[in-house]
Amino acid sequence: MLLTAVEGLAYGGLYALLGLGFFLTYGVLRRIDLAYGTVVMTSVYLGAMMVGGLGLPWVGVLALTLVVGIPLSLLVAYLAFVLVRQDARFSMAATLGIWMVLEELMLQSPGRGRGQAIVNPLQDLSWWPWGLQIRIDHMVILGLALAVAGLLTRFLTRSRTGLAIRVSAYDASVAALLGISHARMMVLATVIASAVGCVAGWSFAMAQSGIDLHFGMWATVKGLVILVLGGTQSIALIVTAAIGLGVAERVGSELIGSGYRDLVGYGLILALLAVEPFLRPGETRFGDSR
Amino acid sequence: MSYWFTIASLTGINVLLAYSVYASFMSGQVSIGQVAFFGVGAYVGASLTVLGGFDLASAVMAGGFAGAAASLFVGVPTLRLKGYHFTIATVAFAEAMRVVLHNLKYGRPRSSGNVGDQWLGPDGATGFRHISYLNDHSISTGQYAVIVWLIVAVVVVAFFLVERSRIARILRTIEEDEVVARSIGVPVARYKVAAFACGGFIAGISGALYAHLLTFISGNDFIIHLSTIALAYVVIGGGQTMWGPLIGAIIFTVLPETLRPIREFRIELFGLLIILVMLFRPAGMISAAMVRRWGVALTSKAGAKPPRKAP
Amino acid sequence: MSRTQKSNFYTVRAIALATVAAASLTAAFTTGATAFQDDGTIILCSIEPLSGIGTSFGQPNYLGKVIAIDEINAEGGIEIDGKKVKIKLISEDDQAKPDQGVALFRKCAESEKALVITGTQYSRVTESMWGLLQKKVDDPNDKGLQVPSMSFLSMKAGVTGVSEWAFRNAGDEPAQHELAIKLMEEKFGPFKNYSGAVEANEGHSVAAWKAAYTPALERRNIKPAEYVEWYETDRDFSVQIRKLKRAETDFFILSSHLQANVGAMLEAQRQGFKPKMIISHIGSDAAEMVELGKQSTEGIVFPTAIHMAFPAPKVKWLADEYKKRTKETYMPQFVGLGYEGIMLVKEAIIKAGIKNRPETLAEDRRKVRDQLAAIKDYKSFAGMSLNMNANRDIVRPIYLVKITGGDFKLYWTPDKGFLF
Repeated sequence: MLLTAVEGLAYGGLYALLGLGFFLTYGVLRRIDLAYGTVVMTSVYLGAMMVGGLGLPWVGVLALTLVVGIPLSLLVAYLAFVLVRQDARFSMAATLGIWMVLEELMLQSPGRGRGQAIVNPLQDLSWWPWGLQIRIDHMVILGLALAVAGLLTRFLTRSRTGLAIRVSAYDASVAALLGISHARMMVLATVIASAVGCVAGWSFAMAQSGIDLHFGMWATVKGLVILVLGGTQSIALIVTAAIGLGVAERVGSELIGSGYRDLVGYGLILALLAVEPFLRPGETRFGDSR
Repeated sequence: MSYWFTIASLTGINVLLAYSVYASFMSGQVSIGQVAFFGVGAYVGASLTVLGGFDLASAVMAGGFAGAAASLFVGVPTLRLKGYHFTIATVAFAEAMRVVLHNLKYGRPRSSGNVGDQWLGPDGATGFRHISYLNDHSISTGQYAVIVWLIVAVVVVAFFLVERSRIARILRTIEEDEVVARSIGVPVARYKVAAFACGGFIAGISGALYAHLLTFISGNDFIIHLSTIALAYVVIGGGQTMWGPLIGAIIFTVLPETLRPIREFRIELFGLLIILVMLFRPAGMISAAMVRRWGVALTSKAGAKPPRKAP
Repeated sequence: MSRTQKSNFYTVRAIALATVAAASLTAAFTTGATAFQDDGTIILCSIEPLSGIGTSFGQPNYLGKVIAIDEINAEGGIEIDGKKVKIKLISEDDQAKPDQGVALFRKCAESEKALVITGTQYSRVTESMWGLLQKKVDDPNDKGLQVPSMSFLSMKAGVTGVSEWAFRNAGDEPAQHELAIKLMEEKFGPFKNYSGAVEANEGHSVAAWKAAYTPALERRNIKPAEYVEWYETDRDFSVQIRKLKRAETDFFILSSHLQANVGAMLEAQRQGFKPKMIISHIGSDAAEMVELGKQSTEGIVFPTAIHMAFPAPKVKWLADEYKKRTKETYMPQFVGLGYEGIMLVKEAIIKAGIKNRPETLAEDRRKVRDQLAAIKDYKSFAGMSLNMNANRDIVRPIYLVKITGGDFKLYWTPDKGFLF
């Protein structure tokens, strides 16, 4: 079981990247974007399809994912959060529409919605200390996730641009008073959030050597879970929550099997949400949410 | 014709689902977990007719109460959460419920069944078969559509009356600003929980009706996608008045049917429509202002009654 | 009129127009559907997922049906009362959703007046549709639909049990797996540790484990050395694979579908878990197993109903025809099942001696049902002989394919035994 926990730690790196993308979108940009996972899936899917079709090397998938993903995220942000801005609920409904359209377009793409292969250069490389299986690709991704988390923390709390983004997302009029261009900051933040999401999506896809249509909804649900556990205030908490999820899922599979594994996870979330207001009244991992 | 009767029944079921979202939507709470109460209602309703030999009416009512009980279970502790954390809690509950429904097994053996079909009642992931009440009691699709729509009518009338009462104004005040509501002495938590439980009740009824129309249910029927769509009915139809969920659910159930000839492109079109409505009519198809104007137009045309002030 | 009033006026008008348009469309379809049977065609219905997540299963099955209908019609159709009558295939898309399935099933049965309804792919949709049928023929108290329906997949065990009007051409799954296990034991046995992996949230997967594999193991007095579960959409299988490896599994039963199979097998390769024998089930022998799984899926054995590797020339012809229409080089077995299914229905119609007139529809449907129930020694295009059993499942000889050298190769046939 200890073995499993340690391996789960490494797997948590994948969740951490995903969680960071959600943190930026939900926490920093304050957007309820149901299409986030689907946009990531679409980008990786198209990237994999093109690379497969053209016979490009494996790095091509990541490059193409970003090339597709960033403009697509900007388009989604423009449609659902700039043109529709009156109420978060309306924006959320618009992202639901985008989700449906994208998923169906992938089904009608030349890939016909079938799984697309992605080359994993580290496929069979594992390190076996004391009977543990540590996948090299997982370690690389964990390192990447921690690096991204560190950079993001520094960027958001130390740099002028980072602060400007946070102010701007919090209140556009205050930003204007401070001479910050709200629109430009939002575009920048969307690009960053999308790039992190694309890297996360690609990492997952590469680690499992392929991408399928279910990935979009799956990523959205997992991202929300990490968000609930980690809150929207701190990157460190998000990373901790993500790694915790990785460990918990592994240990859960080991102890109770997959049938009920998720039930325990969701039960914990509900309990956490229900109990938290009593433990720390007035202050939560979410800050002021309205 | 029975095809359209079936569509009519499905539309009615979706309308109920939309109202179940709307009940708590009025107080500003967005739930994406209605599918859980829908599923509970479906399993309870079907179990009563198949295993317990109950009649449809009692089974449907029991489904409703089961849905309400489930919604209290999740609502009481989580409704004090602010903003979308409540929404996420409903997602977690819905997913948890799906796992439960997937693993549920109770009932009794069927001696006469084929290989693989020897169980009456839910059988884990294999699903819940033989919900044959409608065929057994010779209820035609047309009759079933009438039953469904009678229930819809009751719910619509109830919302119509609530909308014109003090309750609706209190709920809207909570939606606008909880602090204000609390400051004028409204027991906010009690109202929110009551509204949510009503939503759970309606979802449970809807689920029981669904199970009997479908004759077979399994955990896979109750995925989170269904409640996002139900939320979309409300937001797109319009969440400001009780007409929105009705219109939203009708249009979005019937439209894809009429779009059948364009086949695989209809989901795209449907998604596109959601985006367009949000872009050009963010308050939904039916806004409060619109209803007010129609009310005025109707009453002034009739000429008899003076225009009444809408809530 | 103020600006807001004006814009509201336009929306009201737009909604009104949309309603009128929708209503007229509706009217067009309902009236369009009234010209049937007597326009000189036999109406068959096809319900399949043609959009949404089930497309990759539904589309091939549908195409198989279309190829069969085109072939029948090119020969002039079916002879009814001494006159050649063409077949019209009405195609509906259920998006793999049971609520759409029940509505469409009624549409086919009552509005379209189809003689036979074929479909659908997903067992849970098929089960809902067939729940509308009369349970036992000639039961005057049961007002359920009375129309023969045949699915060319819906593998989940026990699906046809719901009605005597329901038929299936998918193969007898328990028999398939029993034979596969027996043959493998004879050739490679004895095995010490049998283990299974099941998709816990997938009906067919679970049903196959319960109704086919578990009884097969019980007959041998074997308790599984290890039993693991995962979800269809899981992305990590390391825990499960480790358990299987620890149990020293040498006979691995993969009761799961392609997406999870690929992930699990890649993990097996990574952990160096190489059981002597792996068998999986029908529907999992898809191109993705090789395209995505690469080396890791080498050596897996599948029972199959119809595979493009079959020697019969007509199978090759069908694969070419499929390639011509889709540009796909791998023909999933659903194409063959769809094609063969329509041919079975055609045979039943010919033998039933129907009148094909509006007033004889109920009688014709009953006759066709009885003929479907009586299918015996039917010679399939794929070279085998088919029989309907008492559970209304087509019993067919079982073939095995094996992934060898990155391709599915025919591995065992009833007449030739092991081919390599």
